Amino acid sequence: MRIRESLSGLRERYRWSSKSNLNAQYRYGLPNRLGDKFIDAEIWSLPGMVLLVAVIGALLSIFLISVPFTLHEQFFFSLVFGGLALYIRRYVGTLITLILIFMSLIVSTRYIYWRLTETFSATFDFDLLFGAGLIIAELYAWLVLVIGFFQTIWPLKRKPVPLPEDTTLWPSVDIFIPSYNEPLSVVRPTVIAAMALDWPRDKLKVYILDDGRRDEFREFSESVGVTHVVRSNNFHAKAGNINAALPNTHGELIAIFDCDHIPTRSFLQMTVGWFLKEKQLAMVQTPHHFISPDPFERNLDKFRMMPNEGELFYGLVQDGNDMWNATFFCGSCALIRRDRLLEVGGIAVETVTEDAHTALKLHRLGYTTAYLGIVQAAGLATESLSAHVGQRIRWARGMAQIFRVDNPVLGRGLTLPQRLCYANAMMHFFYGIPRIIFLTAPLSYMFFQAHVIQASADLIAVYALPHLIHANVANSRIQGKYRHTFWAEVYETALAWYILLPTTVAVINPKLGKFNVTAKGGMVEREYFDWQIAVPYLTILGLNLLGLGIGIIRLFWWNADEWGTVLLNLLWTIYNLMLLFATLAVAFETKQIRRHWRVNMKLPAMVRLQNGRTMSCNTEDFSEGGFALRLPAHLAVEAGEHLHISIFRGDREFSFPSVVAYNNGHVLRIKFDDMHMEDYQMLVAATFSRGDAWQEWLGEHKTDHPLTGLKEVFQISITGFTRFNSLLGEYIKKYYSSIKARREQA
Amino acid sequence: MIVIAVISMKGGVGKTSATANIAASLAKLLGNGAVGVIDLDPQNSLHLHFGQSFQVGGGLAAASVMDTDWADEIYCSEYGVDCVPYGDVTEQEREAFEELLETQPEFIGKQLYASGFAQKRVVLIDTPPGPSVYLRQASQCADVALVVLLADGGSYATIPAMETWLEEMHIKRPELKSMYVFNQVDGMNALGQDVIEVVRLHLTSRVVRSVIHVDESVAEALAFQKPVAAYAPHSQASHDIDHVAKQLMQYVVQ
Ligand SMILES: Nc1ncnc2c1ncn2[C@@H]1O[C@H](COP(=O)(O)OP(=O)(O)O)[C@@H](O)[C@H]1O
Ligand SMILES: [Mg+2]
Repeated sequence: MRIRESLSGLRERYRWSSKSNLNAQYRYGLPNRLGDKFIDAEIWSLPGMVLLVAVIGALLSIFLISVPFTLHEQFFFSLVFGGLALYIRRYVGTLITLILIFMSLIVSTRYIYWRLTETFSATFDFDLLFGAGLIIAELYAWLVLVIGFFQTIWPLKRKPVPLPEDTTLWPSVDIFIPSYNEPLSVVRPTVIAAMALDWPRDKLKVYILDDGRRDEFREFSESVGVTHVVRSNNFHAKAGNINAALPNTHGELIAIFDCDHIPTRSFLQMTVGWFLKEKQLAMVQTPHHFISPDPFERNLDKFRMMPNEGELFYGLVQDGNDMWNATFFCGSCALIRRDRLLEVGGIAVETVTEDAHTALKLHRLGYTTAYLGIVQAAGLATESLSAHVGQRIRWARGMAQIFRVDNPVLGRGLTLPQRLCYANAMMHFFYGIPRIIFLTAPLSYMFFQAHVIQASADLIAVYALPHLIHANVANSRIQGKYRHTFWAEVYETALAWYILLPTTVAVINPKLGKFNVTAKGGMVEREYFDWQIAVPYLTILGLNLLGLGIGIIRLFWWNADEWGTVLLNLLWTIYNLMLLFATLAVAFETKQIRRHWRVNMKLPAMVRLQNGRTMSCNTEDFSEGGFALRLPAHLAVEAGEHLHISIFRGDREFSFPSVVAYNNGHVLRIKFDDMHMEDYQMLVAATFSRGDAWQEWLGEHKTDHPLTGLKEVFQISITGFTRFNSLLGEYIKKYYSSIKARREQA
Repeated sequence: MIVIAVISMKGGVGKTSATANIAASLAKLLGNGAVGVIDLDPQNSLHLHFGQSFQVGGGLAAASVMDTDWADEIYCSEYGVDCVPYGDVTEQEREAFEELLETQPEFIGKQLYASGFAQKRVVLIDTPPGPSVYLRQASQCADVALVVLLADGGSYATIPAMETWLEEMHIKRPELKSMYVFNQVDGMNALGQDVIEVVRLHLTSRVVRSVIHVDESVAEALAFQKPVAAYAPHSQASHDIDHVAKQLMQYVVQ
């Protein structure tokens, strides 16, 4: 790890402490006071004033976007605008956020306008061909940026509505737990937790929708007293499974939980209130929260250290959608009104993303949907990279299918904001082609001397860099805690190649392609490098390395007349290499060590020894098999000794007879003494099902700073680089020793 | 000064232990010397929790009978709690003291001022089980009656009598508050858990939210003549007592 060492050496030298002021809290000051004055100003009360200012603002914007500048003028303009943005970004407040968005809109649109009007080759040639590809990718990115701003401009942050005192007014609820091939050990806690939901007993029914038609499941259902539902075929997978259960069930509301999403007992208390308040409401969605790392988090060893993909969606995007009555249904952890669902013919079966499609149909009929950003269930993330990729392929395909068979931008019944939100959700999954274009664009210059942007390097720099800076500053401001800048690029890069084909195929013919169910509860048994996943990236990586070589040569020795352009393309190539190496780091599948799922959760606990002494402590983690407890002091117990563990939930105490598995003086690991069903129910009640279980788990991360994000990605990229190098080293060594062996034989 | 009378209908529920340990916990919270305890139980065992294996003076019973004030009987323990023991007395002395208490219903309250205990932030009074002249004296000067219960059928059966007594008391002294606390709770005992649940249902916020678990450390601490917090700081009982003490103070200042 030479590189890392020298980097940390550098850091010490320049005192870049890890807790730099980059993550300083927002402050309150002059810009805020000016903003308040502006908002409170008298003139707004004059009739027509708002309109007048809006018109002037619009005209000014059009002017700023389209006015041609010379190199120096553009440079000066960028300096002033950029400086202003960097100054005000440190101050708190929605107004500042809106101004940053506005500035980014102007600068980015100005860039695109300039690209479209002034940087195209006049003749039909190589340059135009490559240039067209790039401009399409850039237009795509610009559109996603603009609609994304719109989508998340004012997150609703909806709060729960209290239920009436009189429980006879509460609606009856059916809990649907669809399962296909997941083991009972995964489904069991979900069922137990569903039964423990805080709701009148006579108004709550739990159904296991078992598409595997397994005896084990039927017996389990009977033993705990829930209904086991089967059907004669497996048509339309999960959607079909749910629809088949509709005719034989009667609850006014239907809560759907994927079989590995364990609800907390407060789920219904939190969500149902809105149905009583808002008559048009058809669906309430809550976040999907994962207690195990997804393959990205596991392989990069970043679990809980930065926001994952889901956090942006559930922390921000859904809350933004909610503002526009465009909350999507996400298939699980949601509550739907039965009559509305029946009105749209049940869960949609025309596409493989039945959830989003169902919400679309509800919206078309004028019903509303709501998002409640309080984690009310926890689940297991996909365990291997290939499974993760498979899941994303399905989402991407499904969205592309909806785009084709039931286009939300065109079809009837939606408001304009809803159309935009759906459009963005769909477009989001078409990043495959643009991303590959961005990853290879500088190579067209390196290899073929194609001038994809017909402008001098300095002109490109003064247009493109401000665009990138403003877009990132504004996005980082909005997405703050929910996404760290540049990480999305890593996720996208890793998936781009794989969703490229399915989305394209689905747009051409929505019926083509195969559906795959993601496996749950599996295990990555050993460390390995997923070559299959990595091959396309290795190819692009190889090309970029070649480009880097050519670029360096061209910079100094050969054909060195376009110094600036070469430099610009070199920087771009280096950035791409950083993303690609980070992607490689993801492809190193690390081993999952444990057989059970395991959750880190600090709960108040007590150990009672056989001699009657006790120790008060906290849990460190728990699993189906037992607890790990952090001991405040030495405790004289040895492996094999029997004792009792109590877990506290508010006033309640849950006790479990247990055996010591391991004790090192700080951590005591215990296994449950053969668990009976009642013990098991207590375990779920004491842990997963507690209302405060996942309270702080959304948006718990540090607020983003773009440069911190860059630093993180850079570090990961170095990791990918060194890991891959040592892997290659091993292969070469193996190769040589086999040659040697052969020689010795001869 | 806040005066807390620790009472119960039954013996052996842990009144004395609770008095001593809650006092020690409060002393940690409020500072050395801010908390005092008074032993109104002829068993004379409260001081044992504070390491006073020998008798300093004659104790409050003897002193009262001799008509001297308690100032000389105060034992300042190393755990921050100042303790006035009942004292080792003869049968006649005890009878004389009880008669004194019978004739002067506000004797103890006055003694609190005479002995300087009124300067303390909190004073806890330990009492013998059931109705007695001691209980009457304590409830005459207390701000709060803290009823100690076991989580069992026996203790549960005493609640109606206790409530009746408290209601009568309330007519005389409307300002007297009352709180229940469970001691020696065993989480594995289903009946016990049910008792607690039922009592909480009926008495709602008058039950201290935290319970004190059954814990060998409590008995062992007494054998070592220390509060539990000093003997086994990480034991559950020690934590429980801290919680109970805090919740008690919150309730009192409300
Ligand atoms: N929480 C507890 N856990 C275990 N033993 C306890 C607990 N509280 C009290 N004891 C024990 O119970 C016995 C009676 O306690 P004591 O305080 O003398 O009760 P009381 O004053 O009500 O008669 C003592 O031996 C004491 O050590
Ligand atoms: Mg006693």
